[in-house]
Amino acid sequence: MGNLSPLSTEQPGLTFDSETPRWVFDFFPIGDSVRNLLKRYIESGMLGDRFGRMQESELEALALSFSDGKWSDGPAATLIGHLIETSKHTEIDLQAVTRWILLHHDDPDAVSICMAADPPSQIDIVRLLPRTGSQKLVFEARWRPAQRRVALKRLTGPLLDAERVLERESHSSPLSIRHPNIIETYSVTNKKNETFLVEEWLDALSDDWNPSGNQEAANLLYSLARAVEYVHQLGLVHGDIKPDNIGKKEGRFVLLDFGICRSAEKFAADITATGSLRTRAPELLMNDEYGRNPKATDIWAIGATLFNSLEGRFPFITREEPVPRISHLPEREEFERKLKERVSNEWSEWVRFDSTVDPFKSLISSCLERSPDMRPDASTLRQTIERDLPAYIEEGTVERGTSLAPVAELEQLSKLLSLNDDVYLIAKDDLGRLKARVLLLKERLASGQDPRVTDKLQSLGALLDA
Amino acid sequence: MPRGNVVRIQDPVHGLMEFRGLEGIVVDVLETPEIQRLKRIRQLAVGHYVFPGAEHSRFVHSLGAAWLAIQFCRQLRYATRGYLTDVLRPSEIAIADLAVAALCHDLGHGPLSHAWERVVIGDHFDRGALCTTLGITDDLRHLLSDAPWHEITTAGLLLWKDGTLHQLLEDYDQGSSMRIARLLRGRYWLEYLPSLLSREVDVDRVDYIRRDTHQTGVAYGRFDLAWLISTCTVGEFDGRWVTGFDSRKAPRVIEQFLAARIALYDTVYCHRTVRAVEAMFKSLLKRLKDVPGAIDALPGGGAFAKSIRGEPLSQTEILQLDDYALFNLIHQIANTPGTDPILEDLAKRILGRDLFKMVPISPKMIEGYVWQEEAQEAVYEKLYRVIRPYCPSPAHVKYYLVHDDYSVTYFNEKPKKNTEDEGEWMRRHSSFLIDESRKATAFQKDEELSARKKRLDIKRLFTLDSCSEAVAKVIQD
Repeated sequence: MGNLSPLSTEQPGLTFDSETPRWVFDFFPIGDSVRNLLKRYIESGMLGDRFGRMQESELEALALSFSDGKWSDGPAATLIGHLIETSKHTEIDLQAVTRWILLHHDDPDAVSICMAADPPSQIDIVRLLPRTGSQKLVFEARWRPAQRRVALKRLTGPLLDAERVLERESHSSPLSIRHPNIIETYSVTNKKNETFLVEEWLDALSDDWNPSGNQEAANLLYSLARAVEYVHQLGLVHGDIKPDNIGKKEGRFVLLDFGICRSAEKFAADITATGSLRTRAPELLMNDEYGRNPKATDIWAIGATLFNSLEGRFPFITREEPVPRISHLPEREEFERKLKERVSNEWSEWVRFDSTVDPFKSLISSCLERSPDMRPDASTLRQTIERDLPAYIEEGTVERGTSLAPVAELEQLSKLLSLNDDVYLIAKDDLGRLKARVLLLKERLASGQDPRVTDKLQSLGALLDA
Repeated sequence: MPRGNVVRIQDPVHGLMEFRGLEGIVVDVLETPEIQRLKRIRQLAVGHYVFPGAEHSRFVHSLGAAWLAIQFCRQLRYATRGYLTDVLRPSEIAIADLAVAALCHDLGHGPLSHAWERVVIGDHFDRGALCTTLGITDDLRHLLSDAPWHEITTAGLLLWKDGTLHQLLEDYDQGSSMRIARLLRGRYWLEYLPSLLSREVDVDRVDYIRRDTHQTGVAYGRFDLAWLISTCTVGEFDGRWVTGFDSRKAPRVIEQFLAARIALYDTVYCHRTVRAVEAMFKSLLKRLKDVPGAIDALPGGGAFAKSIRGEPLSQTEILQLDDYALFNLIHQIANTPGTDPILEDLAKRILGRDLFKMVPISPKMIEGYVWQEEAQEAVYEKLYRVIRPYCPSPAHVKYYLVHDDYSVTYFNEKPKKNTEDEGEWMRRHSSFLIDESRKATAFQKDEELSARKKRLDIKRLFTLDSCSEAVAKVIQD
């Protein structure tokens, strides 16, 4: 995120503290400071037209938004300075600014980005999202005609780069229409004919997200494998798989954010590694390039995402360690150096499973192979999941999005039938369906199951036979 | 065998009712003599004395309940997708089973329905003897230990080996008559299904509230049926699956429904003139009990006489009992020379609509006066003294003063003598609201619904029109 430009001249009511360095108010508390400051500016005629016409109630709401949003002096002063500057040459929607101040505590950059966003008509910016990266801004927005929550992306950087990103990103549009594990994306333009991307709003996972059990973990793994298999079959690499790029919709997981996605050839030619450091493959950390097999970096990222959700940390990072943002370059470079060190000399200490058991352990460790060529391709990964975790995969993950995993089915059948005296009266056809289902479950639950599952299956079979 | 194609029946309340595939069994069952008898039993017993349109029968109500059972089941099938494994969602057979059960739920009612049971059968009839006479086996008998008379006779008709209904069901699927009989007692292999038959909100109540409203012409019993059905789903209560209604969408329609039911009790079922007619039947049947042999000689009187004497009836005898036969009997009593004068008088009054009147006095005053346990005989004697001069036979004044004590509650309430675990009782008797996480809360435990908890208590006295004012005056004085 870019820093705000400093105020051009010395401003009455604000003082620049060169030690911090930051702007501070001359008054306290903050709401009063803002009110007094703006009043003084209005009276002195130093403000732009918009502020000059400001209603008393608007001024009050704006002033209060700082105290309600619990802003501290420095960031608030920086933002006020920016507002004053901007108002001299641009119309400002004060009501929207008031809402953004409330939603972006102590983040003047975010508010100013929202102000500058200039969204397409019918779309209102709600707030800037943490998913924002170096090449694009991501907003939570509201699509006015349907009052629907959407994610709005604006591409940043030089125009040519932006167009390239747009081209890559719009790969997700035809993809999404055909795949239930990939987000749907549409492109729209604003008055200046700048292109934005709009996606259905899905709550993304976070680094702290944990699956509720084996079933959810298996389905996360399976959904990602299915989505990536599809992307790879089209010759593309996603390039940025991580928890905050995974959404959840009606119980299934959906891969989001195709901002880095491009063809494997283009990845191979790129010299700079992109995507989050948390799920970045070791070959990228070490060499900063994709090499011959860029698709394998997606597989690593799937493994790292699952590793984090089960072990509570990413492969080379401790749970408590903050990952410096790209805007804080020195800290970031130092952190990357640390990661290289861990990859080179401390591999076994870091890629270590403390709480994950088989079959998850073997599946995830295959994704976290040091050598990219040793990792399974996405199709093999998907097939292995189907082979090793059939009990947990929800049949409808792709087809219907509704069916239950076999273990859940078994649990339901055991619970209902064992408590019921009327099983002996089931109609012949219903009994036939039940028996057929139990047989199918037996097949799907055959390999690598714990003895409790086997016991339940046996007693269920005996009950139905009796 | 069930019909394969669609069978369409027009209904004044639900419009076009279509029965498809296995649901066609409903139409086959309709044609059996056991169900056909219900055409001769009015749904509202003597309601037509006050509401001329209330001539509809238990037959058409049962058919409506069966159709509703199919609608609710189809909704449950939809609402449980993704939640229950497919084999535990209502199958076509389960839907047909529930529809047949709904069709048969009133099978065993006697003439005048509940009034018959209140007056002739009573609460303390010999259930064991009735089960034995009806050939009900042990696997069902224990479920009938506290059942009312008509539920035992329903089971008896379903399991009657010589009956057309039983044979039809067994041809359809061996063992299905027992399955339906147990389903009507709340037992089915899909444990959440039986509650659609007997709860605060069930297919029986849903149909009778709509139908009785339509037929009587009152405006109180309206509620949004389509919305109610659309909110029906399955959730968990104490680790077991129960049927209920979506707590986000259903509370308003459920309030509407519960209020509609209470309003119907208030204005139709317990209408003072309706209850006055019932009071006269009560007196007539009581007199029949007191004069054994009075109707033995009358044609068609045998089954009635046996029942009035408290003897258990066989299935064949049950099939002889209906409103037509009862009214025919009343005709004969009224017009046969030499009949008991009290019976003759009451029969003539019933046929000529010369009805008892409600004593015009507040329920509170009646309660304070008549229900004084210690002095009851003395109290009654004071009233009899006023009525006697107007009786055809002063010695039999007791048949001309009837008290009516009735109460209806919003929610099913656990009887005090019932020792069953509270949670288990609720699972078997309550309707539920089901939240987003599929957790079920019984209606009476829901804060919002239980705030409307209400009880309709009725306490009245009925007597001859000519002395009702005088009786009121005695009580007031």
